[in-house]
Amino acid sequence: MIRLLACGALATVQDRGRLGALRWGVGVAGAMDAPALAGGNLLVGNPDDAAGIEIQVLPLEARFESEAVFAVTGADCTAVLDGVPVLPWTVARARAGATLRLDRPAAFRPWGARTYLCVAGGIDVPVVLGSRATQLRGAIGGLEGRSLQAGDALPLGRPAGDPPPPGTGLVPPVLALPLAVGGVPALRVLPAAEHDRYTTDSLAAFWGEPWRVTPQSDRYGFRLAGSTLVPLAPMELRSHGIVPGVIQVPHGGQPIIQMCDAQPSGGYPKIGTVIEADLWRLAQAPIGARIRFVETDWDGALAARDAIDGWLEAARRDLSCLRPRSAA
Amino acid sequence: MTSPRTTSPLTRIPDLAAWLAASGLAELELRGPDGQVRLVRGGQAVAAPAAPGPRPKPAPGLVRSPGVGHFLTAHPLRAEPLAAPGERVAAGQPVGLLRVGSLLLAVTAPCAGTVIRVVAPEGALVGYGDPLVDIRPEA
Repeated sequence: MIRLLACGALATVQDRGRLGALRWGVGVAGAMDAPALAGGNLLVGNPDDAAGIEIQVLPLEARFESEAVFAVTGADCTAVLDGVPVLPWTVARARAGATLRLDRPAAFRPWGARTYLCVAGGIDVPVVLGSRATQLRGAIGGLEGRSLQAGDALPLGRPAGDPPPPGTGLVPPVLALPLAVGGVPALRVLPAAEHDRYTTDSLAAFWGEPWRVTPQSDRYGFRLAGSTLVPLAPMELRSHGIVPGVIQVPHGGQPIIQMCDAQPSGGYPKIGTVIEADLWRLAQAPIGARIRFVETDWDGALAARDAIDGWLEAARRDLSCLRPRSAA
Repeated sequence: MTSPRTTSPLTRIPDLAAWLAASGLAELELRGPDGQVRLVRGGQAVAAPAAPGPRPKPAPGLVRSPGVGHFLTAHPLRAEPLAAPGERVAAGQPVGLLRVGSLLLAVTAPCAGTVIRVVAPEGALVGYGDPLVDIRPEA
């Protein structure tokens, strides 16, 4: 069990998401930075569906009530275990009673918004509709369907096997698979159904100018600020199914990118869709950051998915070489 | 390995060749007290075992590379070095990292002491036993 001694707002228990429940109108939820959670689970020897803690606001302080192996992934932060610094994206071992403190990085952090704490055995909250992910809108999953707070006790599952030795780390995908245009972090986007119903100037701005992440950005969606996107003619659509990554344009002309806690339907026009393989990049865009959109196509989206899957598989393969073997 | 003296790499060449073929590596070189073997993917020749070089002199505060990889003085997500000259380090504290494929492996101080200098250049490809960081052990 781990107990939270201090916890900022909106920390939640997340796994890879409530997949397959959209047909009941239940959103996906899950880790905003999926590769960070997946990498953390690999580092501590967890199965792919194990849950960790997604942290948005630091500091967070947690006490390990029993000995545990853990890793801190996602956005870098200052991590200290009983006064000893802990490396990011690296296996560490905590003795029973040890306290881990995650705090804002000492140096200015230009990028990164979400940190993940993964513990061997995973956060063992009840499985709801096939997932432990917290869905805040429906108040299901996670710990009592809510965000975490100081005093919470989080049960741990039984560790699956021998994790890699402490000090073993992974090259984070932000370094292994960087993507930027003119120095601005970029996201690859498929043009969506209503893309061609915007003015030439609007499309030029959409693809050619940076967009700022506004403070109205969270697990539900990211509201962006930039040039006003103007349709060729007013559009009134019936509500239709939407998924994380869809870029809607409300009447004000400022785009919204749906994220993990998005509702499963909406009626705004869709100018594009951020490809699934790049949603983690957006998840790590802090408030006030600038992003760029890069047009891609179906093949490009699949190649990007192969690249991020390849990063994870290479990590899995390389880590398996380090596992302690039975006496030989 | 339980008995390195009785296991010559030469008896394991078929295994080594199979591992090399299955990996993404171009070349594999093993050195032991009795000799060395070098396998090259697609190569024509396999080097015969040669006399080992001079054994490195044991130095208690010298951190040597635990394997083959690129040596990093700082975590790539961070600017500050893990062990700056003059800094005191505790036994087991990371003083550098070895990047091997997708992995970043912490290279730790063998004893408490003060960092004298970082021997290996940032990003250098180092091999097993290469000196990385020199530490003056605490008395």
